[in-house]
Amino acid sequence: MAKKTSLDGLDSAPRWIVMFLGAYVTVNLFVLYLWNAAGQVFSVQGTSDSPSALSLTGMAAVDLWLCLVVLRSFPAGAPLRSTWMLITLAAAARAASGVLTEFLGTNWLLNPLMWSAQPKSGLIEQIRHSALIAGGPIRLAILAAAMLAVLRILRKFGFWARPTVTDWAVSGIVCMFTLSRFGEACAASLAGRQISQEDWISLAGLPILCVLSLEAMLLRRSVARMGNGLITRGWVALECGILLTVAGEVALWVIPHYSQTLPLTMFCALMPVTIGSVFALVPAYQLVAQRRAMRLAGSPPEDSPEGVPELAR
Amino acid sequence: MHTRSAALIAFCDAETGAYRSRRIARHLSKCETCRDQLRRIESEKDELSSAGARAPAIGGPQGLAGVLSAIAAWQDGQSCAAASELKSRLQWQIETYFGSPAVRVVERPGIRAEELLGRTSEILDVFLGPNAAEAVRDDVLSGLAFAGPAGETC
Amino acid sequence: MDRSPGSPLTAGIEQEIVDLYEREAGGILRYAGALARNQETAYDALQEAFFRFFLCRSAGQQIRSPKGWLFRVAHNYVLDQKKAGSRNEVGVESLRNMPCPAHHPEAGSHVSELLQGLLEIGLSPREIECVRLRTEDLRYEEIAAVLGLQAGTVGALLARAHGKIRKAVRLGIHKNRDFAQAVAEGKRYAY
Repeated sequence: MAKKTSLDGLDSAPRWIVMFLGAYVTVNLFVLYLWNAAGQVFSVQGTSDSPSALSLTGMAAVDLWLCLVVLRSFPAGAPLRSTWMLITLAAAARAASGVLTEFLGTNWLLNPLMWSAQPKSGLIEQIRHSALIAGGPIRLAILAAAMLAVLRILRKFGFWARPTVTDWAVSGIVCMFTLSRFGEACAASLAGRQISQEDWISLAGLPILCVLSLEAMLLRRSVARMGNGLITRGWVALECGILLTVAGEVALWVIPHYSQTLPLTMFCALMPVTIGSVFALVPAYQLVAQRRAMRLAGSPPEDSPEGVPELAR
Repeated sequence: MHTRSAALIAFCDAETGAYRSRRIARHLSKCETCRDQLRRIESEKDELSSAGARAPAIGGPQGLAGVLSAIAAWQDGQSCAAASELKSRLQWQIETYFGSPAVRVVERPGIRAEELLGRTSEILDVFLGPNAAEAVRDDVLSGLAFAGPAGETC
Repeated sequence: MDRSPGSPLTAGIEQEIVDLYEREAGGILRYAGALARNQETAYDALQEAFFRFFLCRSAGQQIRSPKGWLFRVAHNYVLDQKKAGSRNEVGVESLRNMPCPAHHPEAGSHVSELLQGLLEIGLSPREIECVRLRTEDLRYEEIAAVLGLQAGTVGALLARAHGKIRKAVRLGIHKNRDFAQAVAEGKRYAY
């Protein structure tokens, strides 16, 4: 019997995520092409960022939901429970940050804080900053703890690999970038320019990003020792998500320094959605592996009146 | 208000927690209707149990002997076809869930089938979760035909 | 840890199996027999369950509830066999000739009668499974593990099953007089 290719249910979650990301990137690249073809007569920077915000928050919600489903399959005391708990918390932080930033931390019509006679701009600003902290340094710190836990378990099972020169080099570049950012902030401060709170929040996350980049490189080595199985794919996605976060952070700093012509808004719209989708692939691949295992054991006899109850709980 | 019949059934089966049991017991001491219902649930349970138990039980010694002889045959290496089949199934599962290089890490040279089963179970338990790992174990062990008195002789 | 044949650990596992067999084999055989409606399959399921128990214990697996575990393996084994469909075609003659002492021509017939009765009064297959396992004194958590349900669902299914049994007794639609009469004795407590 031919294998049924289905896009139903959680089994095809990775496929849906990749398809969504593909469509999103294609549309954005098409707009970029039109912009170029039209001789850059209209401003790409001026286009609305609502679709990007909606996609980002939606993907964060999907990620959180998938993480919760995976978390339920690891009971208390299971070695990977703490790792999945931390990954779920990181997803929750991102989802909460998205909702707070886009719905309560923005001056738009549907924000209830804008409805009163005197809009509470101070509160909106505070909410925005809290959301940035939750989705930035806090989320990264949680992810770093999750990575540490999973690396410890991989080491226990003999999948540990020592960091190579490449790993140290990548981490070194990230550290250099962090130092440059801090140096730039110090210089600006000494020159009497005020550094915005957003910048401080971004700077606070950079040291954690250094640790994360080293952890991601170690995870990459360890996962390479495993192979390309169903479980491994989820951990590869985690490693890619972290490396993309690092790359995005570097690119966002580098682009305005070296090129004024590249549409930064377009990049800002593409990068977070891509990173969000890659992070959503982590629980999605884990679910595919788990459901495959359950399906194998739970396929009921075709003529059995008893059948077998749904094993995936 | 009367106790729900599901709660009474659980109480009858000693499946309610200590706090809930105390609450139900307190209610039962005051409510004749619920006491009647509990008695009826108990009688139904007794009836169903006794109907089930009317079926003669297994003739112990020889049935057990069959299991023990299968175990002895396995330990003596007489069921080597089943053992090697088990090993190759385990390798395949490791390849599926982790990848081919992982097989080399998990499987040591000359490892016994049950040791490989243990190592594979452990790693699957950790990375896949206990329920899914149990399902994989079931899949690996099903249809190996080692339950006979003595498997294929090497 | 030494898991080689004859080691103290292996001997301990064998003793564990002997003890478990004496306690649980009858119940597993009854349950598997009722599920498979074939005593030979039931006997194989029993052997398979105990042998797998030995393998998993030898592999160092900790089994929290051996009774529930054995019932679950037997349950899955019977379903696998049903799926394969081969064993179902075993004739009565071959059952009679079976050398297994566990086989009794009447074994399972009362259970089947009882289950037939349960089917007649409209219990769903899942409810019947729950009732069956409960009569073998499995805890809700163990029943849930065997059937792949949540423990809370087991309680709900049992409550529903009892409701249906009571209703059937009240309406007198059950043909099995023994069963109906016996259950009906409870009528005097009915409100």
